Amino acid sequence: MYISKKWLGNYVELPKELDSQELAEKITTSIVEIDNFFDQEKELENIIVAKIIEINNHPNADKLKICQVDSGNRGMLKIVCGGNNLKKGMIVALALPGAKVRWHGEGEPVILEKAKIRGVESDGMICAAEEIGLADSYSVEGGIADLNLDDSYIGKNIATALHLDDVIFEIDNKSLTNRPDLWGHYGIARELSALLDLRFKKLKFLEKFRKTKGDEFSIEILDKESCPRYLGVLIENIEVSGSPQWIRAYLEKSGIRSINNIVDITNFVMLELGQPLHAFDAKNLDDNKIIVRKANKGEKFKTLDREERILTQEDLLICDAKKPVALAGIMGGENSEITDSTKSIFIESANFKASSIRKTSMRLGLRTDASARFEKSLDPELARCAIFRAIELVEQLCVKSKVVNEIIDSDFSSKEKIIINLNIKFLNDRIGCEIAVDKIISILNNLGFIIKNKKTYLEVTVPSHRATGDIKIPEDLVEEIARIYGYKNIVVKEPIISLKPVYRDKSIQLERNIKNFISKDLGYCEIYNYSMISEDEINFVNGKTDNYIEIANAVSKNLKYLRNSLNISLLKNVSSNLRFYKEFKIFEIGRIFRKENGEFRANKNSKEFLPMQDKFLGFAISGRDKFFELKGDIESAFSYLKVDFKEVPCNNDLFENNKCLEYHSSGELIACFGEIKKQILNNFDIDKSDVLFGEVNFSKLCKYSKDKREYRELPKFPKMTQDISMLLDYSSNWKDIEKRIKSTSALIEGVELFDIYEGEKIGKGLRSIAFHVTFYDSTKTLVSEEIEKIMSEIRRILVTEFKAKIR
Amino acid sequence: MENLLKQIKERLENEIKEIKISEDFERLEKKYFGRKGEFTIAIKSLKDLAEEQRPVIGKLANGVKKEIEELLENAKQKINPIQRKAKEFLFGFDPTLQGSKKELGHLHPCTLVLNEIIDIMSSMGFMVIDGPELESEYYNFEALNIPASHPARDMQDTYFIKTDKNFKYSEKLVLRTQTSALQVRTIEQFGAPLRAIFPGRCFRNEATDASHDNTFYQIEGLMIDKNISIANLVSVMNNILSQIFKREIKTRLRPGYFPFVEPGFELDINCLICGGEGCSVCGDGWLEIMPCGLVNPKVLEYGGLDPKEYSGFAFGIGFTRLVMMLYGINDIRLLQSGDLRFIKQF
Repeated sequence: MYISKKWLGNYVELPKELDSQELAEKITTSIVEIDNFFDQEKELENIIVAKIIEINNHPNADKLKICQVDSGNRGMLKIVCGGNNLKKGMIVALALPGAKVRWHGEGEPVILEKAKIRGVESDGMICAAEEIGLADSYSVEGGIADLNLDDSYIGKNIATALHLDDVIFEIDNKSLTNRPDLWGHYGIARELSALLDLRFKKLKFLEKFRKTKGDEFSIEILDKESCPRYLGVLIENIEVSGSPQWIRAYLEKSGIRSINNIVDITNFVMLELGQPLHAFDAKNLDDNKIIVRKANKGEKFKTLDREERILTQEDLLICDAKKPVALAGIMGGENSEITDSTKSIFIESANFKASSIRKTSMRLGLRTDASARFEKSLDPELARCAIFRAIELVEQLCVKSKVVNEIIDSDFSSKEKIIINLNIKFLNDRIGCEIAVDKIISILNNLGFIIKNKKTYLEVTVPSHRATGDIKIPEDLVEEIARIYGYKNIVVKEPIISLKPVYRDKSIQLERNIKNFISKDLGYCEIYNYSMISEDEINFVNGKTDNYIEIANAVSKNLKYLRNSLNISLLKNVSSNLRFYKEFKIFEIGRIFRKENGEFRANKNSKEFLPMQDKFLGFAISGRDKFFELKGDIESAFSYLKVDFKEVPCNNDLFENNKCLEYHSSGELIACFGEIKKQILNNFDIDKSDVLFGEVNFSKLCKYSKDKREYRELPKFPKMTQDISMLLDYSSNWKDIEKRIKSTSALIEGVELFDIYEGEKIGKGLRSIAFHVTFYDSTKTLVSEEIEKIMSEIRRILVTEFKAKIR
Repeated sequence: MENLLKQIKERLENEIKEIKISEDFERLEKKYFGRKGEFTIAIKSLKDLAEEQRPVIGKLANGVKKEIEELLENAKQKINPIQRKAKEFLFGFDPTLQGSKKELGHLHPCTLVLNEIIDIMSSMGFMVIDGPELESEYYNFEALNIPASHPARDMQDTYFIKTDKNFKYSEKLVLRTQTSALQVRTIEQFGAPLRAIFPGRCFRNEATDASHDNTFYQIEGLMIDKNISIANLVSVMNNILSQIFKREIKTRLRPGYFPFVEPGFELDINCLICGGEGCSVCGDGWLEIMPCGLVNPKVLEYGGLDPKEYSGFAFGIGFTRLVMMLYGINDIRLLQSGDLRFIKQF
């Protein structure tokens, strides 16, 4: 929204010495955010009004002309110009050296210098509207701006001549969402009066206006919840014409195009008070009647912008006796718009329920200046002020106009006052410093609140313009006082707190440790991936969409499901990185989502649990022969976190047959890894590398991680080690053999594989395996007979139970 | 076909013997396995064979491929220049040759900054709480004083979860739009006094560009105690920011509106680039960095606390933006790109 400093001056006299930069800062830090401001006078410096006296051809260019221009007291100047609408006697904007212009209205402004154009010296530049930021109405395709002024303006600064000696503040509308009272100049001025402690010049509304008797007009509201108040007035003897310059200037500063006097008045009042109005051509309203009702399902209505809208039962319509004439609070209808031949008008000033307007405007994608205001919850009283203001302006601009009968006011809005008891100590405690009671009262008074001083507290009555949801509780008043008092005037104070240590979440600590371990000790790079995946990607890993949680309103089909494993994202990472790297190791820790119940309650009083969303730790390695590298890495991670685990052979759609393994802890599945199937790799365009993928349920891992470290006495007696070498086929797994060997005697401390060999020499289907067996007895030194007995038992077991050939 | 494969293998065996330097090795690898390599072309021609021949020859080809790969791998180890030199010092010793460095992995820049912020906040007695990313409407909206009719609940900003008869919930589920969703969960669990931060992933259903993403990270902070004031809030914020940026930071408060705080503020810091003079990044010398405010009494009540007894403040660090600012990252999408060329810089 654009706010004009001059316009504000109508309601509050701003001190001359207050510069615009400072004013912008004050508004930003106490009221609403100013995005930017334009000092028009400064922007238009060195641009003057001039008259074209003579036009000659340029000797070296067909499209250029050389003009003799009367610049007032600077005399006759020679200007080279390429405009296609140059005329003798035209009054134009002449930029002199030093002026700021935008070439062809684009890019950053540049400072104009005297220059030779195709060999002819030019004393300046005759400007097009967009080159110096004039309003659209001065814009001519390919041509220069025709200022349409008389000769008395020649030589004057263009800012003065066009009433552009103003500063325009651009307000960030987002910072206004909770302030329905600030959507017009009047509201901002009221705030400034409080902020700068200046008198607020309240508008006085006409008490008497030119009237005539006529047919009765009636308003019927069928949905009083959506339309708590509707005021209307019928005015005759209207002459539709262009607006006077002062109204046009105000509208243009606010970025609104002038249409005609009647439409301009409705816009002017909106920009002044923040209340949107609508004017109908009364002759198109059937039976002198307005009915406010909800639309029928599928009802069609053509809005002013010539678009046919299809409505639902949630949309609110303004109708006459027979047909809809406006989409309430958003846009009027084509069937009743003001035209040059309009002779009588009906002005609507209404109050609509914010959520109703917002819903319709969102659904139709139709956002207007009116809907932006109505969806903030406007003050029903404002509708009354606005209609008086509109009548006053119509009287002024259409001198023969007369109000027919009276204003009709259909008012069902609540008149209940909001009264808040504000405890002075509470206020000072919340702000954190002492503010004098007098100061508090004066701030609130200036903002329009009515105060009764009850010594320890103030009884504060909220004015209607702040009572539509904005101010309800004492905390709201804390904000009013603190922001006007000035946040920068509050002295910073450190809180005083108890020294009790706070709860430390073990899993946060472990996550950090494991990330460091995996990256710095195991050499993995950490990736953050999106939580959303596509249906195609689910198919890529042979998944079923039923097993994935779906997003109801995903915009893109690439983001339709929530990942239930880190597999898809990490495979995508491998695929894209293979363009630049051959072998690499990556990991991610992130939440995955599954339809089963998780650990978080849906809400305090509910027995429902949110879907499972454990944190998973995913690994991926690209390269050849990395199976045992990944296995080692995963097991190192388990050891690092002190988690007990057990290997369990498995089969899984994701992995090549038999080339995968699960890990269980306390009987629960905690991890799984393996070599990704070739067919899946193909789906991800991976053909140059194998991919090893593993994932660990990190949430469970944290649960099973033990912080305890146990001390055992150092060995007092020597350990003994014996080796066995054997030939073995693939009918048994090493893990089973290892376990079986360990079970033969309590004296066996460890079994460690140190060599595996396969080759022609030892025969097909066989492997040679060699391992150490370490013995220890904590009570005495071992004797070799004892060891030999166990060793021969082991050999016997290997031969009989595992069909091994001892070498 | 069979002969062709054998010939290729034999030729390669001979050529490998000639290899001296690693460039030779790369040349050989390309010659046989490159896009137009001899072996590659041979494999491609497999599809021209008769149906019944294909599996047989295919198997053979695979065998040959393995053998050749093995040969190449062995050769590669032999010609590794550093290893060879290290073993073959005959006439002296050069300690300046490259050491055998272990390749370290890299942590994501967000992890690095998060660790630092956790350290700062822990040193000030804030606990760190993790919570659900898929959240109930109750905690993401209602308990934060955002009623059903509030614009913040509009479809366009929030990802809603589809439920059906097999996946049923009595309220709507959303991907959390803010880690503020953990405020009431944490108050319920720990009561007051309370100091906590909630770092984590948030989601907005919006189009992405260099500065917007549908996934981003936030660190929400919450402090509740007796008589917590605006003056306290500013003090704590100044301390946090000075720690994060490792220098004194000038701040200012201005009005901001968030339903779960009252009063609500936007906290700006003096632009780090121009020092507050005004530049193309900040405009007027200030950078919007942290929305904050005193906790709305409604939120305290939702958490089961008496707002007459306790007050508090909450603040949100736009974590993704902070990380980008600290490292000068100019495209938000890089953070979730999984591109190792990016990650390996940290």
